[in-house]
Amino acid sequence: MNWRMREVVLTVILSIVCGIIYLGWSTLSIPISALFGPVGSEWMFGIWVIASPLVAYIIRKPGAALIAEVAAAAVEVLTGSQFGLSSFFVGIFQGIGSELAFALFRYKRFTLIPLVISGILGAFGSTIYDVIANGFGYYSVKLLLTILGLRVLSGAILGGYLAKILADTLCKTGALQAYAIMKERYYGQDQRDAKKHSSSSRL
Amino acid sequence: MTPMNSALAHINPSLKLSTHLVIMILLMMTSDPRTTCLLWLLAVSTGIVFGGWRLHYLVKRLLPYLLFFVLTFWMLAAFGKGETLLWQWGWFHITQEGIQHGLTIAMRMYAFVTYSLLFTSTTDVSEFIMSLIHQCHLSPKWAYGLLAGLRFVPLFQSELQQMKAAHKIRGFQRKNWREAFIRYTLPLLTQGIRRAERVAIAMEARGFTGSKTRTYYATPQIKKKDYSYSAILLLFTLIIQLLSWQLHWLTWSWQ
Repeated sequence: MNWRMREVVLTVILSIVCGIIYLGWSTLSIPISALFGPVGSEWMFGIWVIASPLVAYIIRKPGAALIAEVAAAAVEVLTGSQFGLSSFFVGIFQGIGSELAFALFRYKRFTLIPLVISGILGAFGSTIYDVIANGFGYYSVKLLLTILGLRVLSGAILGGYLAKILADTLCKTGALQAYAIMKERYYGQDQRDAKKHSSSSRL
Repeated sequence: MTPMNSALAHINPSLKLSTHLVIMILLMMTSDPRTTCLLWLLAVSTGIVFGGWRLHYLVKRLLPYLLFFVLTFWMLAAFGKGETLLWQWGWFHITQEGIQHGLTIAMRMYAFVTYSLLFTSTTDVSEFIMSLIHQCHLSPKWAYGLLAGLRFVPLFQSELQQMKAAHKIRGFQRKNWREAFIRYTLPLLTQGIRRAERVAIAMEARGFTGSKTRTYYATPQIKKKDYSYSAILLLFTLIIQLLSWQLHWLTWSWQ
């Protein structure tokens, strides 16, 4: 695994953008969760796992998902998050979860399915952390399972699926020409995406 | 004295961070509001004595989180499980155990926030990253990449302002969130990606290879005073834990 400098900087930059989004998103979710309970805001969860699938989908290297999530968490810490250093712990748990998804496919497939699974496993990772640190174990089992279910759903849609849409839109701008995502479109397995891309770029 | 030139600011960042993380893990293991509160007070007093925190600074930085504290408490008190019912209204279900757990978790989160403030308010970002290279053996490639990337945060902000102004002068009105995404997020991201590439090329053009054998302008080290800060803080933590164990307050999370 040899990372090129441009891939390193791109990972950091995307993580920073995600970290900023995370910060804004958490300010939004806290009042909602207080009013409607922990369940009320869990549909918003997926955004917090978007860094991993997004970066892994573009860079396509082992470790990308974990590094992205930890870097996004580090940005949250360094720019003054509500959750401070605990977001660093969350980042590690989520990152390991998301990374597992790509490892399951031996880093060979970077299509919608691994991305969605990555969002789902990220949701599992963060729920494990919440049980350990944030007292989610004190909720009733039914409530905890509802939370987990909502997170999994949200992680799949707002995490994995949205990451794919976002990266595909970025592809169309031509900014990602130098990265693995575009290279595989021309030479690799993503032939279907490639056709879509070439037809849209002709427009 | 400000936090950035206090005694704590001269402690090795990596060691400071790992000490705080150890205390946070200990906090996760403790499930008693009184012990947690004492550990929080330890953070506050460390901040006042060694971190250069003044009262108005404390109020400004920690008071806003009080709302968050109350919300966390409320969430566990009103939605947590428990047998001894105190009050019920609508879907809120307040029990004795819920209140106890709510206090613990809210206090724990407050302590988390305080310990991270103790770190972030007294640590210079570039010193921290340099220390990560030397003490935690982070590869220079990632370290300098991170430093370059962090410089982008203020740049993103000013770019967003510029974009907003440009849209305003052309009479653009936002219709829905999809439109807003395409108008703001997409250009911001594309600009960011392009700039990432330029930064990477610029670094390589100046001979940056990211190899571990490079030389450094300054090499942070762990000195005796760094170890003593860490030892004293952990000693106090241990004393608090022992004290609350003596008073039969202490319960562990898995009990």
